[in-house]
Amino acid sequence: MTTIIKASKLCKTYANDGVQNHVLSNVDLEINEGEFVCIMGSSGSGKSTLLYCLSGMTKSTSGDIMYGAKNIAKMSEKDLTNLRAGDFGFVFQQMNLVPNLTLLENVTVPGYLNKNKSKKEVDSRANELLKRVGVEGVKTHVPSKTSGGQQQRCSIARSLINEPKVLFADEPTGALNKSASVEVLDIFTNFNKEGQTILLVTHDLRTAIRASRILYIEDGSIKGELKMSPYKADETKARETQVNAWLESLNW
Amino acid sequence: MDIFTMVRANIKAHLGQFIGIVLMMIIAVTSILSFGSVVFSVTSSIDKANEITSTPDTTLIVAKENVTDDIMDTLKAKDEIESINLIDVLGLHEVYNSNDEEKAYHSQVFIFPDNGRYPLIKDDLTDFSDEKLNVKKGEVYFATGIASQIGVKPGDKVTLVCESTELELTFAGFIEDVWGSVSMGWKHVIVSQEDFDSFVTEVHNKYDEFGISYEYDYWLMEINAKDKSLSDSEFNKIINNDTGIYDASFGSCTKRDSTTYGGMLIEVVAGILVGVAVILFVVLLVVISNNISTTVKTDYKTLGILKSQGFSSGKLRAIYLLQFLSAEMLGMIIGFGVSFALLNVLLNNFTSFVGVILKPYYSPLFVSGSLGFIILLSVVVIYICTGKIARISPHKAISEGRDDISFSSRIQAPIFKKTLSATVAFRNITSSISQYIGIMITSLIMVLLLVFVFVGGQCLSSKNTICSAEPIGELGIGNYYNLTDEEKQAIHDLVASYTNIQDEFSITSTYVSLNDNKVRCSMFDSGSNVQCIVSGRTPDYDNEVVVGVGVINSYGVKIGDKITLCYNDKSYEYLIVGTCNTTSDVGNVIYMGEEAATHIGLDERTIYFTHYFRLENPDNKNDWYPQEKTQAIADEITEKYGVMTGVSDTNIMGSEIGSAISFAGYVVYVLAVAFVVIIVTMACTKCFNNERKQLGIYKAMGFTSTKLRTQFAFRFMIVFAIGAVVGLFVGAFTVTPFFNLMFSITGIARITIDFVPTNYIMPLIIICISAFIFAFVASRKVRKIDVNELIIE
Repeated sequence: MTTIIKASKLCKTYANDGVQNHVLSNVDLEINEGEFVCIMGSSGSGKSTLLYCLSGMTKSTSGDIMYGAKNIAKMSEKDLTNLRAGDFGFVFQQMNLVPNLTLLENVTVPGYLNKNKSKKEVDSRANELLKRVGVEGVKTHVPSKTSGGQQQRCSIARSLINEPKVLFADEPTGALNKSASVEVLDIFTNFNKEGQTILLVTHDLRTAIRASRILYIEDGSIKGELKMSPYKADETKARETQVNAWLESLNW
Repeated sequence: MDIFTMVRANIKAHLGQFIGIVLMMIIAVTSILSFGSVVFSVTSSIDKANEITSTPDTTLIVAKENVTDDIMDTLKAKDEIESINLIDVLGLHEVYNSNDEEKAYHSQVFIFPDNGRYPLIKDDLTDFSDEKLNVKKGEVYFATGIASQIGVKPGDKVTLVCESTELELTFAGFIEDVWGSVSMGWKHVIVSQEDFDSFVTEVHNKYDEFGISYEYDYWLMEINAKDKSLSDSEFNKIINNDTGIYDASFGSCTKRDSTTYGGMLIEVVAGILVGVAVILFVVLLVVISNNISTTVKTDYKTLGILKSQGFSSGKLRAIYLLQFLSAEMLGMIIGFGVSFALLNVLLNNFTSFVGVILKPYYSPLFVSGSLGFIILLSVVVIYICTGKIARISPHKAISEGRDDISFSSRIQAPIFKKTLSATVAFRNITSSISQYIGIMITSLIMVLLLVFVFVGGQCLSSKNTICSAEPIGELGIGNYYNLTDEEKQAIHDLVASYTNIQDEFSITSTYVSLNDNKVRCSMFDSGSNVQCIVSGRTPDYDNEVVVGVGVINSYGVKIGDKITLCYNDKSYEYLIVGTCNTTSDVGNVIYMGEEAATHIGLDERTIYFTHYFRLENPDNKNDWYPQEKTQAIADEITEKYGVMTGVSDTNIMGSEIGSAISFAGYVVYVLAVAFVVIIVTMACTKCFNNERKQLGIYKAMGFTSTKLRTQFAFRFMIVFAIGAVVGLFVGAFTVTPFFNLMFSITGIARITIDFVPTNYIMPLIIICISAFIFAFVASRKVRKIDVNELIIE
């Protein structure tokens, strides 16, 4: 498999009132094309920070993050913006849809930034994505008129509008109820099966079992790694047991 | 105490808003106080000048032959008359700068020999000189009113012209002349007795040469009343009784006239500026109410929490009241201080309008009244706008919150790929239209102001407008009465060989008595040739006249009424058949034809007819014929026919009046743009704070900071453009009534205003571009928004 993102000796330090807080310490990591990687860890372990560093949403303090031949850690703001507009997609825990745009527009607007695609192509793909994530019926509604699950599904569609190489997701089910979470996770799983690389952060076991590889992070360092076969719905229980046991072995 | 803590905290939290209101208040208060005080300062300065120069209560220009010993004895015997003084005087036709003949002053100027009563002013025009005026041979002194118009300073050469007799003298200094304003022709030019005598002799000889029997020997008769409470009309009546001297005089001017006429133009300009200042204050109130309204919405949850903690609605409203009032009070104090500086600048610019030293004067009643009214109105507006607080339910506010408060509307304007920034910007407006209504109203008012400024400027240069206000033509031929019909035809043909003649008419003016008051009477060569008719018709018959707005207002007459006019010992009753425009004598003017003038002997004065040609500019029929070309025609006529010719100074905007009015216009531009900057900055900051999260989302989508700033700039440009377009329509309908109202002070009843598209397009462009640029600048904080603000750890 081809490595799509490779981080080496990645460090992130926050300085607060002169006190240095080392959130990430010398993290080495590789994400391969087509993988569904899940980063787990307790609150404050640095999992979200790692995700944001890898996606270029925040700058690392030191270390390299290679995306092909490009080093994300050393990219200019303009290049990072281009990266976000094209190669990377992002799903937030709080959806972060633009409140005065309809669900369809929330998906098409970032698509319009892509100069290589016509409006017709963007509109067509947006409609297709919304249909696939199951919110076609409410696509003309503004976010406040839809449920949290519908908003998150729209958010996934938005992140995929420009056919990103990597889809990052930060606790995508964190703000959803159980049934909505399952629906959203099924969408992730399905897209991954079609070859979409996904890097997802969660502390939820039911989310983690969808991944083909789980990384466990603690105090800013990766403490463990669990590789699994591709997810199948009828193996849910078995995978939960497997992951649970692994986490227990790591004293989580 | 809890209230003050909250006020302090609110100011700190909304510091940008606080500073914005302080700045706007500074501008509004500075404008209101300085513009308003201009009129008070002018009146006070003229009063002081009257006192210093011992201005007589009334003055008459009378032919020496009409002032008999009997008349003088009768006048001196009158109990109501305190004193009479006679001064030698000669009317001038022109005073011009010897170094630049085009810089000339044509209005009525009187040359006097020095009699030691005119106060000398320092060369820097700041105060009176300690020295006494002592005019030497070869020197001339006059007021700053003439000096600034012909562009001379002490030491420069000037030439005095009476008919074609010229006298070149050195301008030696300024005198205080209460009649030295640009809006009245009664100016004093002081020369030595020796120069005066020799010049008068030369003029006598020249008239003899032309064969004109001109009554050139005049007195300026200065008369003081014992009872100063008498009205001008009452006092003039007393003077005229048993003497007829008032009726026989060439013209009169009173002390009150000096104040009225001296401050007249200032009154118009200051009136417009005060109007602007009041409008700025209205804009400020709109901004405040809009700010309160949006702040209440954004602070909805906080207000609910405060209510739940025991704050009453009244207390919460008091917090807003104190918060906004403290900004206003601070702005008021600073504005009061700044107004001193602006008032001085304005008075310096207006000195040449008035002709006397202008010192700042603040009327205590005006200042306290204005500031009191501002506070009162602000309190009322703030109280009304904070009414919504009473309706906030603590439970509802806390449980529901209002995260999406900035996007309350659901109008979904379409978004397009090719115009992404502009269409997203438009969506942001339509999604929250109420948030922008205040800005739209502001834009409307600002555009209205600019339209008025542009149209005002155009009025002063438009041929149509000026010709509708005053009988004027580019080329004037003097001594027209003496020409033969063949010569008149030859001159006509010569003029027509250069360009088309749009109109031609002969006119001369003098003063007649109406109800024992002097009224300017202009005779045309024919009643049907009378110009500037506003209503009714031309006085086609010999018993008909038309009257100016001043006559209508002063004497309460209307079309269809009859008036009796007197000239010397003759009187006749005339029918008013129309009204006319004229700026002369504030519209205290009567127009009639030559046939009508015969009834009171005025036809004798037709020898002074000046024949005007209104010439067509082939490049633009609505524009003036070029002055240099007119001069060439004039020179040729003078050379061929030996008659006096004159070229009208049509370039008003290039004159002192034009400069002062342009200055007032620039003040309005600066104020309008300053307000736009403040409002855009305040609104941008507010939007930025409200939409911080949305901006982060857009950044996460891949929008660059520049794209987002462009979106901001487009948004405010669109908001301002919407208001501006409405403003243009309002302007199109209100500009004529507005200028009619303003110019009615000068005697113009109805002004003709050409529709010039640029007068409307330019304000729109200025406002929209200003909004775009300043919104782009004000949104620079967008660069600081980081996508990781969306992260929840």
